[in-house]
Amino acid sequence: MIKFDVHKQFKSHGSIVKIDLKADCEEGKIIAVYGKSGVGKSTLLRMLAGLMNPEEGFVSVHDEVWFDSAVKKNVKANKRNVGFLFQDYSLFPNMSVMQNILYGVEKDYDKDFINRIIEVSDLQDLLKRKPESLSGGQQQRVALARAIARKPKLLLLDEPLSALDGEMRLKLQKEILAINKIIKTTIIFVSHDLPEVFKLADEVLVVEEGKFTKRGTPSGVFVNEKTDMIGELISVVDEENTKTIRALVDGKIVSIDLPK
Amino acid sequence: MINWVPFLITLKLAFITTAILFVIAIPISYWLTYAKFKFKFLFEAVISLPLVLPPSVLGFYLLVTFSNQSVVGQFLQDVFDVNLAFTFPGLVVGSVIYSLPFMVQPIQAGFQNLPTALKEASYTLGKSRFQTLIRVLLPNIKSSLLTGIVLSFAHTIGEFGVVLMMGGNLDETRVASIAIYDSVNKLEYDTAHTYSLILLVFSFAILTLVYLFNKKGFKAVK
Repeated sequence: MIKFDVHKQFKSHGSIVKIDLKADCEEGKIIAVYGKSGVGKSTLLRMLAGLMNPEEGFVSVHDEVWFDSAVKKNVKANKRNVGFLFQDYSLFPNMSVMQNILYGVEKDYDKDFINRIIEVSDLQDLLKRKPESLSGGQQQRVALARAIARKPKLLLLDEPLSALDGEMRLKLQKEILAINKIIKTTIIFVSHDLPEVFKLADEVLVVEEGKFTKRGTPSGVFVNEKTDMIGELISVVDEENTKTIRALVDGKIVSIDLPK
Repeated sequence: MINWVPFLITLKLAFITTAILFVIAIPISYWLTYAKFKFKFLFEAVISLPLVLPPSVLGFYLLVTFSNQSVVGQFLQDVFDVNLAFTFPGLVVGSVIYSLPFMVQPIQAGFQNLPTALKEASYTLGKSRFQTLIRVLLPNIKSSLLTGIVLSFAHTIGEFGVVLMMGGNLDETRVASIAIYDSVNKLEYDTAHTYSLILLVFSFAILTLVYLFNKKGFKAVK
């Protein structure tokens, strides 16, 4: 079980944002944190990873307390065993793809596991290349492989697919699902892309004005309810194998296929 | 016959100064880049002072500080049996202080130009600050390190005011630049010409090699 209850105030784009986010998440699930930009979604991930401290609060992962302001406990980022996928990939330019992937693992690492990750991420032919020679999608795949190579207790993805085009997005979405099956770790990812939330998440937490206002399965949260922020449901088409939902989100029509 | 001793002293001084500076400038630059501290600007100003201060002023204060009549000089003499005024170790101390900004500033600029997320990515992959510095930060600012090394080395070779004040014109402390001045004073223009030409060619060769190397080797890693 992953539990957190974090409070922080910070400046974003000139205005003060206050966040009070509290939730507990079941192990092994993929959880989306959904909301408009600037509401503190990335800040939440950074606080979970230990890259930023809450002013007050509590973070525990599998009964291990990582942060507790009441007893002034704060486990440093490098001792937390998280995987973190940064928006801009942040690959180390001085290292090859393979060196990047192995950077965080111990010397006596599980070779089969690493090979499997490389295979799932389709990186076999790129291992000796330097990050600068890779495309955005390839860099993102390396960054993801690097983040999971050390089998983190918690995998945090900050807008993981925002910089990628349609086809590459689909490929990586599949990859994240495949990886989740292999390492069975809890994944928390930040997104403002509704189809992505539907595709990946077991559960979604909606952030509005610094608080979680809704929680549930993506279809439970977005389909059964109608809110100004999420948009309006236009139609639901039932077919033999899938159910297609069309909704108006931020002025755009979004079509989502749900398995039945 | 050319007397090579001043050149050997110059090279020895430049190597030792550069080596010491390299070791101390990395932690200083790291601290100046990443520490959050209200009065950091004061430290930055102090470190940069040699850039604007006349070398003779710096040399004068160093001489006053380390002379046998001063408290510091007395203390060093009594406790460590070290005399810095008009000795080679004194030249090294003076050179290190004088060239400090030439090593610190390029390295600091290198750190500042690296994206913060590189450091953070390394932390989330379980590495400590020291491991991150050695394996991620320093290898990605190679050209800044090289610039710092070359500038400090070249600056030490070209020193005049500080070494004259701190070392005087003795056999042990007569570096090339002072030997030239000395020759001119003695109206030995041939020697002055030879020394000057050697310094000119040597300095030009070093800089040419460095720029060539920098262009070829570090284009990828900025």
